[in-house]
Amino acid sequence: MHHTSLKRYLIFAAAVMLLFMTACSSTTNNGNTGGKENTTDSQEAGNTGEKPAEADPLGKYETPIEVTTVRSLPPSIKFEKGDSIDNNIWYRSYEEELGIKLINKWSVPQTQFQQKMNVTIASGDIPDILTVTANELKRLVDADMVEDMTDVFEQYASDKTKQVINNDGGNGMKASTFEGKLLALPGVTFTGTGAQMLWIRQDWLKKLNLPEPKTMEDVYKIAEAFANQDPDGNNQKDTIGLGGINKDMNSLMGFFESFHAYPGRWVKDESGQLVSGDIQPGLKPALQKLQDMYKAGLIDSEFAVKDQAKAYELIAGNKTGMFYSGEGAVWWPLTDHYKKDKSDWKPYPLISFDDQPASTSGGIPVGNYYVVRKGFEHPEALVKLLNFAVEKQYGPEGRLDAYWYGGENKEINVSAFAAVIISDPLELINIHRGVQESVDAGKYVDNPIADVKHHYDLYQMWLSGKFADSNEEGQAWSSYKWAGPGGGMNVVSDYVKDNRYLVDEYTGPSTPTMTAKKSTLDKMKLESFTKIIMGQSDISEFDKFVADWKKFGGDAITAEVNEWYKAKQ
Amino acid sequence: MQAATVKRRPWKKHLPLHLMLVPGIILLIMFHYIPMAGIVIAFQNFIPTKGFFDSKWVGWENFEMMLQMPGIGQVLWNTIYIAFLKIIFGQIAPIVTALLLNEVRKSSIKRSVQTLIYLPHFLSWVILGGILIDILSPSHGLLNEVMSWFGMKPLFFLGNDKLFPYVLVVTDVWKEFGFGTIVYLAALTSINPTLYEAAVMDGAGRWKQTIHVTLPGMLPIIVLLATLGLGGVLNAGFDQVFNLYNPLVFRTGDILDTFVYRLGLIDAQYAVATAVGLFKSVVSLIFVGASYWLAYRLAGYRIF
Amino acid sequence: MDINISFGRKVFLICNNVFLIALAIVCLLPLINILALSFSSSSAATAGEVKLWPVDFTLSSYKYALSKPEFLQSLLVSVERVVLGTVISLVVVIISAYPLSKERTEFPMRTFYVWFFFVTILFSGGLIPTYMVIRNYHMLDTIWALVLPGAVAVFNIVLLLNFFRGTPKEIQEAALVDGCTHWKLLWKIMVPISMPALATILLFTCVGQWNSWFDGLIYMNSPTNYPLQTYLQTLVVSTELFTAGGNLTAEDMKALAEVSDRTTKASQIFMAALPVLVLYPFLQKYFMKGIVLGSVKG
Repeated sequence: MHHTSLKRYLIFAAAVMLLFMTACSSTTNNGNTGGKENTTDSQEAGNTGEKPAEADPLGKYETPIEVTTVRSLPPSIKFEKGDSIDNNIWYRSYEEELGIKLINKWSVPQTQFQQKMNVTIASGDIPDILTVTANELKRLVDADMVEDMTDVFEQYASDKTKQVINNDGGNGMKASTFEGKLLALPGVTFTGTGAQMLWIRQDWLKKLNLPEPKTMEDVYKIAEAFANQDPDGNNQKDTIGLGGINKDMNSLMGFFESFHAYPGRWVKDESGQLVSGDIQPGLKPALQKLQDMYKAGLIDSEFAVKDQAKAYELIAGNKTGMFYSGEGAVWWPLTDHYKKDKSDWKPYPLISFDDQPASTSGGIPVGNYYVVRKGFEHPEALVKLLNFAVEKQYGPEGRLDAYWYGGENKEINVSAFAAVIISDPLELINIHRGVQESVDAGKYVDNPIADVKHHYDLYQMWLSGKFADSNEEGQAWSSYKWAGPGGGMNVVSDYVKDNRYLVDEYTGPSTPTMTAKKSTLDKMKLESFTKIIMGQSDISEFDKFVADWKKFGGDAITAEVNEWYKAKQ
Repeated sequence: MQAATVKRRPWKKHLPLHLMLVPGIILLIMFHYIPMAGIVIAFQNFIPTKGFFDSKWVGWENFEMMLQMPGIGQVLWNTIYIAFLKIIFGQIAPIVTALLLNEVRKSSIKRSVQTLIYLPHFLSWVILGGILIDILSPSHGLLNEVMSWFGMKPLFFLGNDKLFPYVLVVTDVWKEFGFGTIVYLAALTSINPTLYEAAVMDGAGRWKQTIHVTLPGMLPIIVLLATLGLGGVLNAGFDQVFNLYNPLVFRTGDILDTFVYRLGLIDAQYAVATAVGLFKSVVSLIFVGASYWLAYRLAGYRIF
Repeated sequence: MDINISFGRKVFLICNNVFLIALAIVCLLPLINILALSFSSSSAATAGEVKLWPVDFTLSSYKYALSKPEFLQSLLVSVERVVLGTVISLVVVIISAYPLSKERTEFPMRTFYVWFFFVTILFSGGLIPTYMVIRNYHMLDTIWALVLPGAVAVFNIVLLLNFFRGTPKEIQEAALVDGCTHWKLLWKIMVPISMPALATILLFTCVGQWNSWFDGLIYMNSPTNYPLQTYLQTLVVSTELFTAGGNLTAEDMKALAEVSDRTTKASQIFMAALPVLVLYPFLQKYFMKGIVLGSVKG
């Protein structure tokens, strides 16, 4: 009996498979014919009246075209009444001014974008235009799913677009180019993203009569004083020296960089070869120092189990007065802390442990990439959308506020609705420089970047000390600490000026060995670093880690990466 | 004539039973059996644009790749060890609780306890992770404080790789036992009351009644849930481990699902992920199939 | 029941009550913590100061949560999926469990069918093929994508068939001999005498439908169609997932500040859990009853 049921099951399973295969092949057929129809459509359209508009960066399509895309919604997104991500000033303008009817196949909150995008890519259901991360771009390129944009970009991109997109020193365009072909348009990020700095509580520093740090020795001294001299004045030894450290060690990046080590990145060595930042010699003294600090009780003894939010509790909870982070720490976690305790924080540029100046580093120098589905008839539509966004910011009319702020109190960030947008990579730095200029002049100096006035006004408000409520006070404080004199962007601006900002040198796809081994190597790294810091392993463990790292795939990865690098030159 | 009716009757007799299964079967084919064909990508170098039919066949390569990953042996062992402990204690705790609740005379106590122990089931591990880090902290955690009353030294529960698997098991049992109790309470109500009366006539006390009436009455459900639990022998609980593990406990806390997850962070490796899924399915089938077969061979009992 | 309670039994009963109440308190603590968080100021929450009692009591997180249109919108979707999903699933489970509960002598094909159903628990095509199939059925963005794929809850079927098997055989046999059809037997006799089991399965189904979030994320194309738990999941994401890239921009940090605001999360988690928490005590009366058709009530 058992056997017969098994046989029946097998026959049934076979039938099901057949069913599936027919169902599936019929869909692929549909897809094909659909594609063909579209192509003929576009050819007709092209014959009727596209030609003259061909090279016009903002030319309107005579017959409006439909373009599909997908959207990620930031957590704070808000809409004007009646608007949505499918219908807003940007989308309406695309249709009216460019003849592009942009359709969102789906939209998803930013926190879950990755998941949804993975399914979309894997099921081969990708829209005409999409925004992807570096990793996804690699995947799409490997799978040959994206259109070559080399010629289209050359033909259609406006001069302004070409200028803005290259303002990051060409890093973005380099990262988007694969074997000589431009396969994506880089959503260039702001120069300085990922730059690390040391945030120190000024009220504690003053209370304990400590000087501002000039050398790493000063930093250790401050850490020691913060841990042992009761800066919070509660007569309990409940504070620590260097805080904010989480189990992924993201927030130790700045510390390692003080020792000229850049874990997680690829850097050029003296011989011009790329080496992994995970095994750089500078890590050894850095880890040794961290181990000493841990032993002396200057580091949270439980950092190894905490995620970032948990680690930041110590900062907002007045348990620590010093941590490494980017300039964005102003918003998280410092604004909340300021609102609660009026704590006074100041960012310091990284201090080197030797006589060489310390540099900081960013990851892959692009926030996201815009790509066009392979086979899409109107790849130039993406370039036009990009031109449009650039025009609305830096065009002859200057920035049109309708595309930036909305709502009664201008609290709606309208630019978040734009499907394709880049801003000048130098903009954030220029905002700071604009604010600084106004501060120096003692009054607002007219600046083409509208945000300068916004931040300068908030800075003035902070100086005046008059606020409607604690939210406004928090806003004024964070604006001052971000764009104002001595704020986070000031530090970043100096890094860039002094050539102390490095970017990841490797922008290629995952190599075969990376695919197979990198997750194991990363785990090994985290494990041995954590154990060294906590004193569970001796510092000599670091040499063993380097040897293991090389043996278990690191050497192979390095060889592959350098092969890529050579080919790229 | 006689022969014809005999032949026709069983089919006709069973027709209503077949018909009742039709909706379920159609839905299963539509939403489970047809997608199951996707398992083929476990044997392919799957490239989305090429689809199932044009992706290259690579045979067992994906499985080999998985089994050759450095450290996979330890990971597999961790998975099985944690999962087994969870299956065992995840069974015992609700059974004991159901029996104890059954002894409670005051229905108000019984009801409120029942409701309260079912609460943790509704909190996700992301939330519980944060709460547990506080409760289990060696410096200011509630648990270590209680332990210090008894003169015990503080333990770093989440940072000690010898303790970590047990922390996982205990917290998981704590989260789910209340919810698991429900089904046993339902099983208790279906025990025929006349059996208890007969036992009382024979002079059995509450303890004897529990051993000779209550437990045997619950046995089919216990066996069923234990068998189904065995199907999860390679599921050690991704969400929980992901939110609680850290570099200090990688050695004993890294499980198959977190391993595959990290692999996927670098490249979305659908083929390898599917291969791992298929591997898990086959192992589950072996365990469930074996217990089903054993129960039938040894006790003549079909678990389901 | 017993009139003479021995001393030992008294001690046992007291210890038992104390133990169970202690257990209940241990289970209640995290929820109290979440409740306290939801009534605290976000600064206090960020500082980790909130334990079991609100710090800087405020209702602002509830005001904020309820002012977001997504919350109520997704609540409606959730109600719809729970009602529709539970009704469909319960009917399918009942009519599938009944034939499968028969012995092989009564229904020779049952073992084949049972495994046909059961295999789907163990083997799955995975996310991508399932997504593609649902897309081909044109069910994306419809409530059916949330309701139908899980309607055949095989675990519940197997559970219910076990309960059906536990009911007295004589009743079924007598009914069939009397000329009762299977259909009538199922609905008029089997269902009424299996109320505790059905209440259990009803609860499992409701809770399952209410709690699933991943399907909403994958099959719905717009957040306006999300059920409540999917919407919540987009808020309650672990910050680690968010920071996995490592290269955080100022915008990311602002987003993180929003995502990591634990007070709003807490209030929404609490409000979202409330309906299912209330459901259980309501269903509990079915667990108190013994078999209705048995001679005496226990």
